[in-house]
Amino acid sequence: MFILDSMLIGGLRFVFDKIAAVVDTELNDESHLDEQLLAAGMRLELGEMSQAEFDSLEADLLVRRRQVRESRQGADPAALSPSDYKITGIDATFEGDEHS
Amino acid sequence: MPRSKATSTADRQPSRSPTLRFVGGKGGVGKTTCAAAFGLLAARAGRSTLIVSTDPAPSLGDALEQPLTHRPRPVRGVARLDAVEVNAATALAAWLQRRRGLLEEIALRGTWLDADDVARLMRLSLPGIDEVAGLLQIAELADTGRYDHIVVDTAPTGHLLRMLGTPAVLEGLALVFDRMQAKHRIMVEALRGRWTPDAADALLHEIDGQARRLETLLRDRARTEFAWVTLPERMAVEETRDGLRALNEQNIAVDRLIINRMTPAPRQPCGWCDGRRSLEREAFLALERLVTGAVTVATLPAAGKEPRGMAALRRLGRHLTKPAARPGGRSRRVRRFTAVMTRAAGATDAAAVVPGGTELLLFGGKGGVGKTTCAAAAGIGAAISSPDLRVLLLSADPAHSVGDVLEAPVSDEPRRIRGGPPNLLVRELDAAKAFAGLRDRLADGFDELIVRAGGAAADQQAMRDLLDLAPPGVDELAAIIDVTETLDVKAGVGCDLIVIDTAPTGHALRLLEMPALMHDWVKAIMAILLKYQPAVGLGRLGATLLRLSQGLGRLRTLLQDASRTRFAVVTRAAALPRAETVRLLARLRKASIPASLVIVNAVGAGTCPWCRAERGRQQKEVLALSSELIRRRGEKPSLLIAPGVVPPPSGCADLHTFLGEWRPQRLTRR
Repeated sequence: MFILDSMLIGGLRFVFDKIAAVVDTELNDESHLDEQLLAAGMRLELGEMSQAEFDSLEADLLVRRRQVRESRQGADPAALSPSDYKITGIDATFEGDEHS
Repeated sequence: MPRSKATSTADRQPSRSPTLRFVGGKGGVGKTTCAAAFGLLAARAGRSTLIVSTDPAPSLGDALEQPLTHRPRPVRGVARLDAVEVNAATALAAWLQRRRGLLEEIALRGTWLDADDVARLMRLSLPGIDEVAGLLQIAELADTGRYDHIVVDTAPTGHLLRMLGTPAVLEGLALVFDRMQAKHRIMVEALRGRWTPDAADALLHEIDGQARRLETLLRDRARTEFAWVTLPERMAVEETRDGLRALNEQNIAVDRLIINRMTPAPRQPCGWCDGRRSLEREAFLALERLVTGAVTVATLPAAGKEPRGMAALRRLGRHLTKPAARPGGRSRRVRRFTAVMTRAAGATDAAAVVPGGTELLLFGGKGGVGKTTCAAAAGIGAAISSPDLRVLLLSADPAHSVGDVLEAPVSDEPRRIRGGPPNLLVRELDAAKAFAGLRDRLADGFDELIVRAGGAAADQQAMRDLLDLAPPGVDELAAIIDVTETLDVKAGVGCDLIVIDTAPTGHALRLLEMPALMHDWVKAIMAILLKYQPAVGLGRLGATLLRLSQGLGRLRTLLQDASRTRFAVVTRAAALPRAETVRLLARLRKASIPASLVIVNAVGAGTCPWCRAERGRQQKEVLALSSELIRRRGEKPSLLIAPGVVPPPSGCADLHTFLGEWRPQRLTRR
């Protein structure tokens, strides 16, 4: 059971690591932010987005981009990248009648 | 309209494969008139003949004095003669309609696009494919076997050469689709063990076969003849040399050189006629030296009235068949002579042509009316009168002649002209080079995404082949976007005013209408790319497309902004150019492009009886044009009259003098 549990926990940890990395990329990777801005520019050209919506999104993306730059230079400890942290445990609660 | 009693040759029994006579040359030299005269000659000699016009701004109907359509119809009063004006859009739509289903099927099989994407792309108009569609229709008319002889009145030079390149375009198309189909073949072979050719393969085979047949037909010297029409002018000599060389490189032989509009000997001393005849003699000798003895050189006299209708065409036909006698006299230096104008009042200056605030000034009109000369004069005048204005004079005509007019070497690199104002740069657009840059950026972008999607090298090659099939005109447009972007640059390579000398009417219109068509394409590809973004991202392709779309948007806005853009239509005081001017103004209005100026060029003549009669005819034409302009709804363009000059104005100083000789003409009714 121990082997099974540690494999299960190890597997889950791997998956969560990946999710954290993807979320982090979505939020903070500079090239990804650029691509989001590019997509917004294309949607504006196609008339799928208004100029006001574009302006607001562009402002937001530019702020995030600046934060990413600053965090890379160590100025903002709040922004994390996968290499900055380590998952040490997972708190899981099971409900139901599995063991009953 | 009287009903014709002539029987359409299309109703007669099929005969053998016809011979073809192409009539080509620079715009405005009289190709249409010569083609009509050739057609009439053949029909009168007993051959079932068809005259085809492939010019996007056709005037064959004007020369034959009867309306024509895109279906062959009998020419009134002449047995065995039909005529047709090919409508590129209709011809292409008909060709595509019969093949659309299978082409969509192949694209679905061989690309990662889904049915919606393929249908969306296939619904878009194909810009600038007139020449390909034109030649395809000629081939289809030839295949009917109903004609012994087909005379083709071609579009002006640069575009004619593209038409002759049609077989290569078709072969390219077959190759791209064959690459797509190849992927499907391999898959089916892997699953079923063997491949049985289906309808898609048959279609590719058919397109490839069509390309090969056209290739053979164009280069078959026993069946295909080529007449080159030109004018006895110094500039026409250069143009003819370039044209003959280009045809020779395509392995197409010219059998006849026709020098049109030779001034007849005056019945009394006339400085104008004598000056012209002396220059024409020089040009004749230079033209004669360009061809070998195997080529028949014929001359046509300048007709007082434009040759319209059967009687005039028959008279011209007699000249077409006999070799010309070399003009007599001796070479002498001709001093500058400005034509006498019947009515000339007031003076004009650069501000009348280029008011302050103008950023883009386009010169358009029928071929041979003097667009380049007028554009160069306007560019020089604007630069001299406003020394702080950075002016770029740009030639966008594939058959460039601005260097000849300025008597200076000009290239794709903007440069100052010796003796010209320091704030004037001149450039002959190398559209192919500008497009090559865009093509490479697009190809790299596609490559990146194909790799991300796990595609193979064959997919990358297919995409590159497809980009090579970009229709003619896209290259010029890509170059013009680049150039107009410099209007926003305030320093360095930027400029404040761009004066563009465009290609003759049909193709200038295509260039002006193309931004909208190309914008549709770019948007369609962007929409498809966004759809697949979660899988492959947008990559560099997204950035290239977005920049292109924004550039097209800015160009479209600029073209329709009457406070920044002016379109000057250059014309002559004659019936055919007038008819074409009225059509051009209507098309510009439809494209929401402001036409603010009409310049009637080369007005006036000498003092002999022939010249006096000529001046009278011109005066009537100017009045007729003036009446037509008054009848137009909305804002009326201003009318300017530019005098005829012998020798034609060339060089900076002479062109500036020429601009000072333009006169405003009040719009009056006949």
